[in-house]
Amino acid sequence: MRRASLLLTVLLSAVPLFAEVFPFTITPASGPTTGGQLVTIKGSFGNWPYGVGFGETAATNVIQVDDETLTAITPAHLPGVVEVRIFEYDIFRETGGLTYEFVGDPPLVQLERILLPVLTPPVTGAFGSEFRTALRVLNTGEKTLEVFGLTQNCVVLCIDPQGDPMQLEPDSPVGEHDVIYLGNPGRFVYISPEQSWDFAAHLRVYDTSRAAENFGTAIPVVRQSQFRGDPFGLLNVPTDPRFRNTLRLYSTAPTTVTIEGLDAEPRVMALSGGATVHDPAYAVLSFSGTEAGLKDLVITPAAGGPAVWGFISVTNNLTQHITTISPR
Amino acid sequence: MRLALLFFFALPLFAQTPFTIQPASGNALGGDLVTIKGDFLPQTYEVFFDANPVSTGMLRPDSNTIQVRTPAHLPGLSKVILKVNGTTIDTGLRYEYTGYVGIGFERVLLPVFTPPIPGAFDSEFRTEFDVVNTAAGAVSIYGATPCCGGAGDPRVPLLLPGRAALPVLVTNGAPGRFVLVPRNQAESLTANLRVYDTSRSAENFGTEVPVVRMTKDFTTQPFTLLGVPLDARFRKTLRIYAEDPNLVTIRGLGAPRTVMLAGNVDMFTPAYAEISDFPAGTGLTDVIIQPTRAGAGVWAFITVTNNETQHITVIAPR
Repeated sequence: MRRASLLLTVLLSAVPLFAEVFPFTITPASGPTTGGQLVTIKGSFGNWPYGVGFGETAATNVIQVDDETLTAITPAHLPGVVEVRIFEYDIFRETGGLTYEFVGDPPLVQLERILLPVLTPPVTGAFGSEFRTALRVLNTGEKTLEVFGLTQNCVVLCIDPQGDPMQLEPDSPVGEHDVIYLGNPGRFVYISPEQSWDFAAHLRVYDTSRAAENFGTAIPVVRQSQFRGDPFGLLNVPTDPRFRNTLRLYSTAPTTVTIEGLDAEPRVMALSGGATVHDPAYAVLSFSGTEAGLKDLVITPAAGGPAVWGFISVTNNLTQHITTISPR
Repeated sequence: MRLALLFFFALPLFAQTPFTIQPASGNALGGDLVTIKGDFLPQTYEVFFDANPVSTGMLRPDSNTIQVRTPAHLPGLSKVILKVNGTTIDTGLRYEYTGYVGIGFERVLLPVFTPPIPGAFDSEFRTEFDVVNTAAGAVSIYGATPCCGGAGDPRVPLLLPGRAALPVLVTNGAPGRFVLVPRNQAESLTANLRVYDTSRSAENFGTEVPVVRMTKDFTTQPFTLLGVPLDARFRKTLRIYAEDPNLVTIRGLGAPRTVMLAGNVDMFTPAYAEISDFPAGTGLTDVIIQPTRAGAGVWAFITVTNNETQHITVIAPR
């Protein structure tokens, strides 16, 4: 249904390509990520209803002042430069590359941050194994839900294949093959907190060579509120050498954590990266034991630093079966 | 004769004025000032309501009086216990906590907490629950019974000292179980719940099952369990939990159906329903759970079990 509507929009939006092009300007050309800024768009406007979009997100309070002026209120948006889109009755006007820059940190009052801890393209392993990530999301609400950071896998024809945020229409699930897997290893996506309960998600990793034997392993989808500034445990980690363990730690900015229970002395690890609002600062540590048993790890984030979340994957060396250990 | 004389002479040495407590009841949230009267030694006493220590603010207005603020405790009777010079004294006093448990306590659902279940082909599914207190102070946990020699009354708290792991517990869910923690202590705990097949423990480490917090994860709104395979090679079980009896409507498994959650015989046992008759087919389905009575939160998850390998995958709401 979404593709059909997009195709229709493409066809309709092709019309202005053959019409006279007027220069457009926007003042001011930048503003806060929290939105709420009044902007003035100059151009040539007729006797039509108008809408204004900042990237894929609609502005509010769009008013046509005269034949050359629109005003609008910017929405909350992630930082960065976005295309300003002018919707005239039922077409998008060609704006000649009109852009607006959102400045500041992600607006966490207006947007809830959610971590997809693994969102990688297929990873080839030993013995013909191929590990895939399968993300399935659904909008259970009644109005369109925007997911910043998810990118549609455009199979047929899309008006904006790199469209961000992804527009989730109610009751239209987006499945494994409808998403581009950009997270390496994880990815932050953002939604409106008001629609938090409307956003259903299931994340799963599986080995295609063993799809007949098991359905894979669920990976937690993590809300910002689940990140911890105080110590948390990752419990019952096997030290049996038949299993390999991988600890993955995530934060919103570079930081350090102290890990107790791994070695005789606490170990300090640095989380690095986090270059964009979608990339978590990250650290990974692989370890195995030498004899059967269990150990508990306690992760202590740096005092005053950003909150941290982490999990351990326990993988059987023979069957490649994965078990997660996550903080609850 | 000598024995009788000895008894009468010895009696005054150990006789004490009976302890009293005023008031003898108060709010489950704690914080009420109580006065304990008795014959006290001129040493420092510790006061406990069951295992819960009085942490601050003890007063000794005179040699026969101790005044303390009550710690939080589940509704019901608790023993008042004193400790002095390393000796524990059961005062014989009972203090009654009153009020609604949901106000001061976080219910934590262990969705599966059953004793070992034998299955086909020598399989035996076991539940393993581990919890660590990462804070410096102690945490009281209700409904968790230690496996070996512990008290059987789930209303008596298990005190988990700071920076410590819980001892092995009796797996007494049917199938799930609520444990309760004072709300202001809940963030100090990290838990892990895992089910595994002992006959396949060399091949996999089992499956992590969510540990679910009532205030954060239960909802009265519709929620969806996504991407459930209809493939007949997998058997599916939907488990639904609530604090109180509730009706839920389920969509995505053929015609919509309404099921009753029931069986919450006490505060540790969730109201529950289970569905296993999933339609067979190809592809994936999304199962929508709609609680029908406002105010009573619901949580659910689906297990997807391979018929051949018995491997379990969990599908839980985000």
